[in-house]
Amino acid sequence: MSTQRWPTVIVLAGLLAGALGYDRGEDPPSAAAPDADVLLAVERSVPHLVEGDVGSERWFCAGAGLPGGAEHELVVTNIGTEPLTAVVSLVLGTDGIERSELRVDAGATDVVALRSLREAEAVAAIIESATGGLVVEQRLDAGSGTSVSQCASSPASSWWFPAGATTSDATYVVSVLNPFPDDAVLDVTIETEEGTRVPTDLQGLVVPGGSVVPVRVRAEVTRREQVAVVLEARSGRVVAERVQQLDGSVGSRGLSASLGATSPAESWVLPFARTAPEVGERYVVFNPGEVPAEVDVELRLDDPERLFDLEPFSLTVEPGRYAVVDLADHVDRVPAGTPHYAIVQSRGGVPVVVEQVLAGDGVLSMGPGLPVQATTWTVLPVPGVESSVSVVNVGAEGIAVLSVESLGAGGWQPAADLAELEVGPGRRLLLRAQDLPTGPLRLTATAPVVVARRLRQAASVSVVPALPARGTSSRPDPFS
Amino acid sequence: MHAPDPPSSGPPSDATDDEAPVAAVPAVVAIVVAHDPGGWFEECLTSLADQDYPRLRTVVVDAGSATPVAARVEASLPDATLLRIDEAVGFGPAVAAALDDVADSPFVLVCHDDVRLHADVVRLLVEEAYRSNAGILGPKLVAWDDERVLVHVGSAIDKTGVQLPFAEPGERDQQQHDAVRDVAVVSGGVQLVRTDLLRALGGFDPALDLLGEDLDLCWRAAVAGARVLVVPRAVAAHREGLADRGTLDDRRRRLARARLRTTLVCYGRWHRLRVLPQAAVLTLVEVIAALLLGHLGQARDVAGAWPWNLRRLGDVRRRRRALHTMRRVSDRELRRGQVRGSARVTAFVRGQIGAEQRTGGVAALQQSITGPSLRVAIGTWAVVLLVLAVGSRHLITRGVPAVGTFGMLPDADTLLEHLVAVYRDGWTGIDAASSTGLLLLLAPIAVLPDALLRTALIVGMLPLGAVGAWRLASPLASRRTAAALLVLYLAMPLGYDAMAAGSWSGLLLYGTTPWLVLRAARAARLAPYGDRRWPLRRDVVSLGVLVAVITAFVPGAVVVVAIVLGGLALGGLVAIAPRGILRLLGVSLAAIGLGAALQLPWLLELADAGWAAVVGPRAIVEGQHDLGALIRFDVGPFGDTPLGWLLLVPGTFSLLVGRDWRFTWAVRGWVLALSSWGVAWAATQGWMPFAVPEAAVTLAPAAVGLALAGAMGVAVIEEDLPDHHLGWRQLLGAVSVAAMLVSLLPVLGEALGGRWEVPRGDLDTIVAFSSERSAPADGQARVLWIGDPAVITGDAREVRPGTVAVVTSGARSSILDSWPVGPTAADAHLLAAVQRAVEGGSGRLGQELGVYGIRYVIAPQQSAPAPYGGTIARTDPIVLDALAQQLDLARIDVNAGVVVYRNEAWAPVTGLIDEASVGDPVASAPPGEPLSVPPVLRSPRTYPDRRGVVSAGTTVRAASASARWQLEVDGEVLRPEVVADGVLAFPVSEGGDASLHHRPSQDLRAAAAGQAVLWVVALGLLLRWRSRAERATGPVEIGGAP
Repeated sequence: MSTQRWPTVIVLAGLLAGALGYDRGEDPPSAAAPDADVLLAVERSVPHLVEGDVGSERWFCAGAGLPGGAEHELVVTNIGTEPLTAVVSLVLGTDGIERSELRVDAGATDVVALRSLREAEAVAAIIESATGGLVVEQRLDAGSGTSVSQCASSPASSWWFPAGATTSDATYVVSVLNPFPDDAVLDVTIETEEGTRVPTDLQGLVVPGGSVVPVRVRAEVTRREQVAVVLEARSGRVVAERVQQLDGSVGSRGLSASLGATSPAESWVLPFARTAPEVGERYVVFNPGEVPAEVDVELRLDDPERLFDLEPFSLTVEPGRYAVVDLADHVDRVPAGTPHYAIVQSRGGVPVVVEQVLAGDGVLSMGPGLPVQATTWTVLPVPGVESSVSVVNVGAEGIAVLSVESLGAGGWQPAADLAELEVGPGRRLLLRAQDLPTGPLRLTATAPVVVARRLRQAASVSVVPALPARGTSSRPDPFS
Repeated sequence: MHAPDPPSSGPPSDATDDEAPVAAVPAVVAIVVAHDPGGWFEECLTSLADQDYPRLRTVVVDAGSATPVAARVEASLPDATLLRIDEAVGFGPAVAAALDDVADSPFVLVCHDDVRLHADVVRLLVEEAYRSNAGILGPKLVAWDDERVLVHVGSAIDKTGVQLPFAEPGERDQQQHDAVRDVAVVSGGVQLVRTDLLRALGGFDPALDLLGEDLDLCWRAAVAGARVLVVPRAVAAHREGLADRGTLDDRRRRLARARLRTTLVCYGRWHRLRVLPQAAVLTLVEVIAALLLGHLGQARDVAGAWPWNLRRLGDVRRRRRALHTMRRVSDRELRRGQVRGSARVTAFVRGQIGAEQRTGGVAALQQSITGPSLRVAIGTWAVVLLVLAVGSRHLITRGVPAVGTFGMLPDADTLLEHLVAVYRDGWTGIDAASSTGLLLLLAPIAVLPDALLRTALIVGMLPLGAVGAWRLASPLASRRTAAALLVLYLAMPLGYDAMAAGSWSGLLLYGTTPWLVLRAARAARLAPYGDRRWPLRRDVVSLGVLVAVITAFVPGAVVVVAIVLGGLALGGLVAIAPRGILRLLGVSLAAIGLGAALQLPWLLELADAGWAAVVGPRAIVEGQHDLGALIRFDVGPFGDTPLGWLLLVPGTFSLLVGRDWRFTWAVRGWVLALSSWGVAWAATQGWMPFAVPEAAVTLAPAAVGLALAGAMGVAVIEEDLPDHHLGWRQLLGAVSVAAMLVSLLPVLGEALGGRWEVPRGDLDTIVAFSSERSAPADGQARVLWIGDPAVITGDAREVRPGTVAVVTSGARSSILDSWPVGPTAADAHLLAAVQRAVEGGSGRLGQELGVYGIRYVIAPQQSAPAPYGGTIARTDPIVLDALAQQLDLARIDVNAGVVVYRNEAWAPVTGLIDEASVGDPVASAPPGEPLSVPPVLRSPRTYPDRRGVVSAGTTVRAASASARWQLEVDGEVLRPEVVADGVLAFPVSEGGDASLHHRPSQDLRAAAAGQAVLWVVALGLLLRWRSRAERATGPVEIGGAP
């Protein structure tokens, strides 16, 4: 080679080789789509709050639809720092929508009685505000008890209700709200211990746009102590809420309203357990997949010395079926009155849906566990209701240091005596009602945690998840 | 007809002049037609004087020479008879005038004034006339200055009269044609014609006054049964001086007229019916080719032959009837002697069309594929054209679906309306200058069917790139090198990937970048591109116009222009060959300046839109490609093969082994490629401070550079390897050739599919939903397209990383709103609403969109509907979920390839509302409240106006960001109230017929007119320079004998 060629060739080859070497050494660019999918699935699995004022908020309260009537109230809280005006759209069955406006001061909680506004077979509500800060829950009050439940922040195409009963003393209604202008078409199936029921009149069930339709499960399947209800939308998306009422004619009485689960997950956290030996505690695991799920139901004790003392209950859940762990059947393994929480994990990557049922002695609380963990949560007050908060650090990321803020006239302020609370890996922190300031609370942790409330009004108990903040949540990665 | 009896018994012998008995030979009269002859004329006369034929008399016809030739004739050939005609009557009439002086001579020798006969020409011709009983005979014509070079030894003709000379241009005389043979035409330069035949035929056709008269005479003689022979033993030199006395256009025009006239005269009815349609088709093809290559003069001349002859049909009929009375040979027999197929096509391939026309497009292309390695050129081009034709066959025969940026073209009227209106319908409407691309499309759309033009503009980019690659290599070395560059460039997956992805931007750059490199190299006079030595202004204008044309359609291609110009300059430095760099930089800067000026006033719109909009929605995003993929051009389905690495092998070989200019150009090619890859890679790494166009665009210089470097390998094999002993260099050379051929395999395989993986259908086929009952398809409904930039086209703007949106008027694809303009406040408001909804901050996006007349929201999931395939969109699931959460958007099931929502909170673009005094009632309506805004003024008239009937006491609401609308109700003009950004209201007090009329900005119109003038000036300059160059070239006869 000539002397002129060498430097030229070396420069060109060096440039190319160097760039290729650098490029190979780089981590492959992460594909945005899969991350977005996961993030979206997490955020759509439970109602989330949007941090900051990014625009409007909307909540969907599917309502009660209880025959015989019940007091149905919306609990509207403004966690913003400015007053807001919400538009309440009452969905009167299939008869149309009526709108009214509601002004809520900053930090205030207002209660709107739906039944007192309208007497209809089914009433639902869509509450919207043009600005952020709006949070809505609902309270149902019937003779059998009181129940507080979340409203949905987004509709979904699938809803699962693993637990429920259609015994003679039970009322089981699923209210289906379609807030969209186009019709939704649903297929409803009911799982019993004998197999799948496919009610003909609930196949291709049309829920017209802007309407709410009650699905009376007991009319389809009677006298079952355990049924699982699945709603799958052929088209459209809906909000589905279950109301289970026990009138006490056979056993205990109680009332529970709860949103269903919108997506299966591999890990579920249930931050509260029974508080009295008389209250039954059951876990119902439903497998919506197509392969059997190997599931561990693990109860973790509050006593740090005995955190992992209890052997998990291992279940095999067949596709499309449910399995139940009733602690009443395992008194020898789980001493009554031992404070604990539960983690349900499916091994082998088969997602499941998990619900917890606390029943007895006037108590009826049914609802899915939490398939998310987050670093920021908002806990809402319900007027006249005593609430305690459970904070579970399920992850393996070490100690979560928790700080609590309350919303006052000056905005969010650190709550006295609630700063720098530590929650160890796998442990639970219980914040009792008397220890908590009134008004909305914001819990911020240095590691992801799971937060729920136990609301007690008279004898009634409702376990209601707190609201994780968008952008801070993820799937639980339980520490074991 | 038979030859006249000789005056004595027996034919003339081969005896010498002295021995030949004078009375035994027939008299011959030589008719020399002179018209302002040059200095050669004396040689012509002297050669006649020196003829050894004893009974030769010469008549010189001075056909209107400005300077009479009498004195020159007297001096050189005093025995000649001089006949002076005061006007330049043309060749045929001049001969006819001389025929009166022929008396009883049985033969006339018709000569131009620029021939020099060997002394025995007349004798040999006469002898052969008797020997072969021929009617017309011609000698072998050789070059004036070098008698070893053949000029003409007779021609065959095809059915349309196009001549196919037996001698190649520049062919050496090695006696290879020295046999007497029947031909269709002997050159008019020297012809021995039997006098009785000439008189019977009526002489030369007087209408053919300069060129083509020999074809006509020979053909008619053949019809009359006379033989036409070439007698190669008789030799005459032909200066072809007639070429100096006419322009190229003039000669081409005359030849085309003469061919058609002769065809009309000589054929009988049935053959006319058979041949004329074929001639018309061939004419059309040539006209189209000439137009596409910008040779308007050629198109005009070729097409003009038809009206010229149609105007003379009466004369043609008379001559045909006269010939009919003499017919001895049927057309069928004559056809047997003609060349099958088209001699024009054959001559094109053989290099006999425009062989000396160095500036002609078709001819230049032809010239570039002829030469010493003719078979290599023909073979390569045959394969290339076959592959491209087979690979594109379904696109050509079934049309190209409107996928990606392959939008539909408007008709000429619509396009003109848009240009004149200076109003853009896209987004919320804006007063804006039309894009330069639309201006440039106006002329071709006016003359070609839009479907044909569209197919040509898309499919034609592949052959355009091929021709460009060939032209780029032609000055460099042999035809084999050019063939290698052509093959390598076609092996680059870039063009086919762009085709499959529906990226017209990528296709355009694939087709034009070789030309850009060529033009830049010529402008810089980089050796060996400096042969033309155009003036600086011509280099600047040529390069500037090319840059302007490319960036008019792909404004982001300015990045490519910078890569090409900068890469060539840098390549020169790296190769330590800095000569020409300063000129390159100077010309480049001036050309870019000119290109920018040609984009005014649209350039100002682009400036408003911002660089991201200029680059377009498909800009390279961080992490999109790895470097290996970029180097292999793996940016689509065609590059996804390890064989792509083979494309680097030939270039590496030339870099390692090449010498001199081979090495220099290999380095330039590599630097060009590295620059292109570097820019694209930096963009994928997030290092670029500005957006970079999609890979199919940005990598175009890399494809040219790598092909150029690789093609140098063949030149290295031809010129450098022979100097080396057998060793690694030869082995590497063989490997590089093998790599070149193997790298073609993916393209060859994909060509079998016939459509380069372009989907078989487009989204236009499924937009019937837009005509449903509540959505009048008359411009009342706008459409928001949102999703992956890979499937969203037009003036798209970023919603969030990886997601763009664009608002169009109607759902069908069109190029009218394809180019960006600056966003209006209403656009920004609309985009913010979409962004808010995607971030979860809005549940009633429909209402915010409905304010601006957006009836549908479409999120394409692929570039074509199912099951047609196409590019699969990576639509952000957050976006899809956000749309699904909107309470006023109703999902419509249309097709699996597209998600469509109907906006239930829609207000038509022009609708009636109750009042407009307190802002826009559509925007301020309570959430979910049904709107009542009936459409009004729904019938489009002239774009963009509307008309209809309005009632008194109503208010017409119009969603447009332009305030230049006025409502005219029964003659009363109402000005709008701007009630919100992008919303106008016209309170109507008196009802009646109404017309919503847009008043175009006169400033914009004036600027647009100025732009059109500037383009005309620039193109006119180029044509003028080209025309001058054509006139400056040597004699040219297209399809005609010299």
